[in-house]
Amino acid sequence: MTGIDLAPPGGAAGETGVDAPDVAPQPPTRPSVRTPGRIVAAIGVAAVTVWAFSGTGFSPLELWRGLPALADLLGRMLPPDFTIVPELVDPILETIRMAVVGTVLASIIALPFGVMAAANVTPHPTVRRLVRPVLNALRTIPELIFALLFVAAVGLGPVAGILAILLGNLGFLGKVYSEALESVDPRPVDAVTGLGTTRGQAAWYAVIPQALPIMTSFVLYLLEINFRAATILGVVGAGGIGFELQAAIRLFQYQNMMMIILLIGVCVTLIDLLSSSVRRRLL
Amino acid sequence: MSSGSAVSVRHAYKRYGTTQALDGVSFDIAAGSFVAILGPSGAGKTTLVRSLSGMIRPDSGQVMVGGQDLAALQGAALRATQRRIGVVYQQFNLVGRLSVLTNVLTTAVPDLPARRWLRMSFTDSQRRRAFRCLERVDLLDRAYQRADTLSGGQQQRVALARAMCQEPTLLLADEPVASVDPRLADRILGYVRQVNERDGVTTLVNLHTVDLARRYASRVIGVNTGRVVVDGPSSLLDDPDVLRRIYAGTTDEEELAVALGQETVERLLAPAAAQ
Repeated sequence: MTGIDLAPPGGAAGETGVDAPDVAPQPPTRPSVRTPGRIVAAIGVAAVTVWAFSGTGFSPLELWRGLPALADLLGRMLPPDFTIVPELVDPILETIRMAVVGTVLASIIALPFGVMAAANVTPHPTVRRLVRPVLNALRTIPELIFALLFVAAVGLGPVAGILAILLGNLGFLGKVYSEALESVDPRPVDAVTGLGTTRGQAAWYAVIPQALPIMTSFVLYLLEINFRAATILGVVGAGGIGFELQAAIRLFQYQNMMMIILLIGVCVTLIDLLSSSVRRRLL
Repeated sequence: MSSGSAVSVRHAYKRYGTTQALDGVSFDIAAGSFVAILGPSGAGKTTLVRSLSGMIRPDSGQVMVGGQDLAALQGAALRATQRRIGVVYQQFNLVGRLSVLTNVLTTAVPDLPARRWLRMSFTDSQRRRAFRCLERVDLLDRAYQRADTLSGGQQQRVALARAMCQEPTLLLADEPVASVDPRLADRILGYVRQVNERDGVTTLVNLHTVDLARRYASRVIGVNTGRVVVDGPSSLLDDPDVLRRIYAGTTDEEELAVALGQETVERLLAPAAAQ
């Protein structure tokens, strides 16, 4: 082979033919937007919407009739009773503690599950196949259900809330960890493996350092979510500020209720600001 | 395998789907030599380097490095051989979030017990060796900086320091200067040459330009469609027929212009067009 075929027919570089006579090109025909699939989808969405509305009795008229009652309630909630704030400090701290303990425990316990479920660091493909369905199953159950179960099992109080947050987070974090681990750049991992390291050593020196910021960022995000979850868990008996809210509703103390809602709003905002500023620095 | 050769590849075959990446490759390399591998993209150059580093196993054939057949080794025995094979990659492949020093120290991880490597705690002599390697690529002052804060050329020098720190018997480089500023190519290949000449390390480098191969290597192996088409002293590259053989079938004009230089491409094409 003497390699005459160095270049495509046409020869020297630079001949692109842009200086052809100025003729408008025949535009390609535009495909139709109304494909059968899209028409069926549109009819389906309309049918489900009508079906749902007709079954619930929701109508603008109903909303209109309810307005005076709503206004009345709002009137009774205002102004919020600021005198009860000192009594709310302990419950809100309890809710924060519940969220923190639940998040910390979940972030640690989810680690081995995340590692086992990630294709590039799993000890064995069979382990991965066994762990993934467990994580998926955990994710299907909302925290509130876990909380109801644990209140029944370990009694009223923050322990039930912590356990509910822990189990509710485990499936989510295990999945997120495994995805963060799997999404790292494989080339440095290859390079470290090429130094004669074991799979575990390569994971520790090349996979984990790359995935850690994303994993930490998700834990912080989860802390925001868990604080909100912890207030709701309090309503079903897990203690904290949620428990106070539920008591205020029961006793028709609407001004107290307003104060509690305000306080929750302030705390959620503070935690969100804190966590998002840390997360920005991480990535 | 002749007794003096550091590397000996025998009838290596490797197929990816319908592509025969290695199609019966054989060659020997004498200890201490500097060999350039040339060929169009997709010719099997990277596959060749990856089989010489033990990262991939050929479908059949032998890949002897330092008296061991990489194609037959597994587990701890393979890892022990890989420890003495330094590799430099086109994209540097450092762990960006770790410090420059830790990247170089990773070479010592196989020597440490778990209680030490898990804490990234290295011995004083390991640290001294890592500093020496960084000094040789003139990056000692960057030791504690994160690797991804360095420029491409600097990262490639860290990668070279990492390879040096393995105290290798074989140094492989897969297009080490294709992703750095062309003006830095000579500086980086200068360090590679130093490892070859001062430490006597057998060196095999995939290169994307003929000019660099001519200036740095004493021997050149031309690869095309998975086969060795040229093998001899780098002075062979002065022969246009040799260049035609290496780059036969390449239709990407840009790639050719980079590999050969625009002038040479035109010179080569002229007699071809006349036929």
